[in-house]
Amino acid sequence: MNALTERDIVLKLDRDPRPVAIEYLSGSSITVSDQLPESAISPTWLGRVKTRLKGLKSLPPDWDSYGAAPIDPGVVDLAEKLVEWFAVDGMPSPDVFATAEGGVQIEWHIRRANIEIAISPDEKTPIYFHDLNTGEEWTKPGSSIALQIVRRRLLTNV
Amino acid sequence: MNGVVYQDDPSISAGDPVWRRIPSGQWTYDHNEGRVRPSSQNFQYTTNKETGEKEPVSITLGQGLAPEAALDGHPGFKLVGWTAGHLRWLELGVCHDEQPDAVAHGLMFTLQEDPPGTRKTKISNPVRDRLSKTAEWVIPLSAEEIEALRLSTAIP
Repeated sequence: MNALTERDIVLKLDRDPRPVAIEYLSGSSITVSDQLPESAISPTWLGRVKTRLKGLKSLPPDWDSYGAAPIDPGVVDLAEKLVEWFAVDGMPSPDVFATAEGGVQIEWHIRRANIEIAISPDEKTPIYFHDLNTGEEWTKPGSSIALQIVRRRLLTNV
Repeated sequence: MNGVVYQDDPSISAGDPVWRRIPSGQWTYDHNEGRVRPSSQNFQYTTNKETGEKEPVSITLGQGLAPEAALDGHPGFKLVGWTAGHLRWLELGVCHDEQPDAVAHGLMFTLQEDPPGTRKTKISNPVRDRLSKTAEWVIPLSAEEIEALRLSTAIP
């Protein structure tokens, strides 16, 4: 399945008002599905990560001492939705960070994988994936298929 | 960058230290490596609000400088570093960039081109990952801070 455009998503939502799986991810748009039956939200880390995300909203300008922008509250809200989508049984805890451009970066460095999702106000949402077992390494735009790949990989205990 | 193509400064020796301040909380525990690493987001170009141009990563050129000087006036920050030679191995350049309010200020920038002949205006994800993974803690977290960080993302 190819990544959908925003227009595709609008059309899809117009036709089907039910929640759908994540089909598109950008700094201003995200659509998340109901969780799978066997994957209800339960990780103990979710509250901690949400608290940390909320804290990012209060960072002042120049919080990094190099001229960083304040964090876009809308991006934080999108990041929270995405984190909830990842919060299934067996999922290791991510860490979340402010970015100098006013966005949020979600990271995992565990289970022989390095994964980073950068949500930025300028709509670009690259996903970086590096499997340390196989050497597979790529950076792709945020899309359903890329997100499914990284979630599946993070749930694989290798 | 206002069309500026930054040039690697050969007067900065391969063994010279290059430092970057890391704000509180902008680090995580790498369970693959068994150590704390700064988030890779610390090592990306920023956008100049006035011009809209991308600007390279600010650094401190540490040769002859006490590490504490780089954190002067920045409580809660830590300091990471590499050698200039290591950065060049990652296809990064370094140069002086004197600033009135920053000691030994310099810039770190990509030497990669895309397309050929045109310098990139961001550091690629793989290179930022290597920067994060290989960063040495010049002024590190305490053992207690590291353990708390490890537990926060450990699998129960």
